[in-house]
Amino acid sequence: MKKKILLGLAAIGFAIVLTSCQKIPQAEIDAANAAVEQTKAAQAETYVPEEYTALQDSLRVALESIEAQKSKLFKKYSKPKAQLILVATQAATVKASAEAKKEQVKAEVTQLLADVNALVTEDKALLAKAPKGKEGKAALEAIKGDIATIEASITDVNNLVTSGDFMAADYKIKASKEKATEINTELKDAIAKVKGKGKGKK
Amino acid sequence: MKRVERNWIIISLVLLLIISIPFILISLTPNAPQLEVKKAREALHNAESAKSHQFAKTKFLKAKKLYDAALVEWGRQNNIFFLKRNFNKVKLYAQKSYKASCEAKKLAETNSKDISHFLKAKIDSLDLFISRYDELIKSLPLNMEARKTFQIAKISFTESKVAYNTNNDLSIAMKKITIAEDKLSIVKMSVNSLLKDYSSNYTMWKRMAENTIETSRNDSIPVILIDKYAKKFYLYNNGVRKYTFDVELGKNWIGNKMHQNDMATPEGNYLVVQKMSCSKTNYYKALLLNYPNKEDTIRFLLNKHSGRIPSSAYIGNMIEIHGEGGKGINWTDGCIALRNGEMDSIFDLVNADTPVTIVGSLTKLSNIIDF
Repeated sequence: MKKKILLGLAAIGFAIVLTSCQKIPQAEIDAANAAVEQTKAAQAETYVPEEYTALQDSLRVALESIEAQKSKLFKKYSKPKAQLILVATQAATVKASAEAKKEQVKAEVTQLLADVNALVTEDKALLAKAPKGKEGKAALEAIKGDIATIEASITDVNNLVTSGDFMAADYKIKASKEKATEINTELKDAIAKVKGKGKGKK
Repeated sequence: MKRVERNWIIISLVLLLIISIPFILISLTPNAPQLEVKKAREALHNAESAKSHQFAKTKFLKAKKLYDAALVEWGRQNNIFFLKRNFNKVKLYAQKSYKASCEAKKLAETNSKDISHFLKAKIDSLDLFISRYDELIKSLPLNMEARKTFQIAKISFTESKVAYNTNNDLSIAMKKITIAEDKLSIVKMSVNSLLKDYSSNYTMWKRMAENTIETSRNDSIPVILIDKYAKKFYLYNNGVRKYTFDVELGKNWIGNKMHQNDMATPEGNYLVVQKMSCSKTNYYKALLLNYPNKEDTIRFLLNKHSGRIPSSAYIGNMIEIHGEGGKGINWTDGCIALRNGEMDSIFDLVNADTPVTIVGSLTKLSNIIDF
């Protein structure tokens, strides 16, 4: 009888020990970390900085919960596990937001590139039509140089787009458009002022 | 005591022991540094939200490093047998991280405010500078490289404005405005080099102009004064200014004329030697000057001798004040162009031997380029 009671108590103790030794949710930890890395790769820090900061904080909260449970004698990882799953979901949302914002900026840059290219084409056409007399030659030569600077800027923008730096491309193409518009106006004014022909003087 | 009672007492004691063991163990387990690490994390998050990674980078990275160290140490302690764990180091790292985060946040808030104000002031002043320099650049015969550098400076400046105004992206705005300023300083050097004679010759030009006007007053004759930088034609009669007109000059109007075909308008004291009406000129009406005068000839020979100009160069001639101006650009080969109506106004007032003084500028260099 005594033996049976002692065995029963031992079994209860064993069960208590077993339930206090839950496994660390390593798969969930790895999944959450991987998901956050993916948002970093999607440049979330640039395109959706507030969401990215909040995500980082959520991950830290989850990892802290893991360590807090590990510190305990009787560990329960169900809550940290749920937190980690939430972080992975949150990361997917942040990644999608970053990609959407990136596409938006990319579309804006693409449109502006088309606008600037059209302006430059128009400027070159105006240059070709401008009178070649010496009265306008100096001004038109200077404007030709300015157009070349704009074209170099467009090349920079294309390189930035290729490398995926759409924000920098956005700033540069907006600046280039402003200059191209100025040149367009200056060219039209210069052509309008150039009149008649003259013979050379010393 | 009966045997059964004794057994129950033993069982109860064993049961009590088993139940109390976990509580004893829990009380012996060191307290986890949960609160300290939570506090550090919250401070780190606040610092991040205040953009400390941009405006107080060193402090923020220190705070982050300490927080990460706290977590790593916590994990390391958790792997040790529970009765031997010591979380003091974890708490220390967490407390230091908290302190660094608070400092980073405070510094970032101050810096971003200061940088924002600084940038706003910088953008406003550079905007004004560039618009005034734009006008100057258009009027100067700068080389293509300097002009290209100026355009690049303008593009960088506009990038800075876009980054600041549309996204409040202070770090990009700061970077671009620094590039713009660097480029502008290169352009300024080119401009200063071009205008260097304007500081040394200003006094001489001022004196030449005053002498010419005094001649008009003393001899009661008309005189013509040309200010090349201002692109102005002045006609004085009896020492009183009668007419002021805009002029157009040679493409390379800055500096004195060196030789034929250099597109430069000469500087010096001249005389009208011939008046040409419509039938005798292609430029409506013209006043032929006695370029080259004695000083021009001496300077030309000296320059040839020193190799400053080619040995095959000619000095040139046929420098006139003539019509067909009003094109808005410097287009002549060295002559001074007025509008036809303006030529009509002065043609009959001027005679052969009317003095014509052409100077570089009647404005001090510091007033030209010191914005």
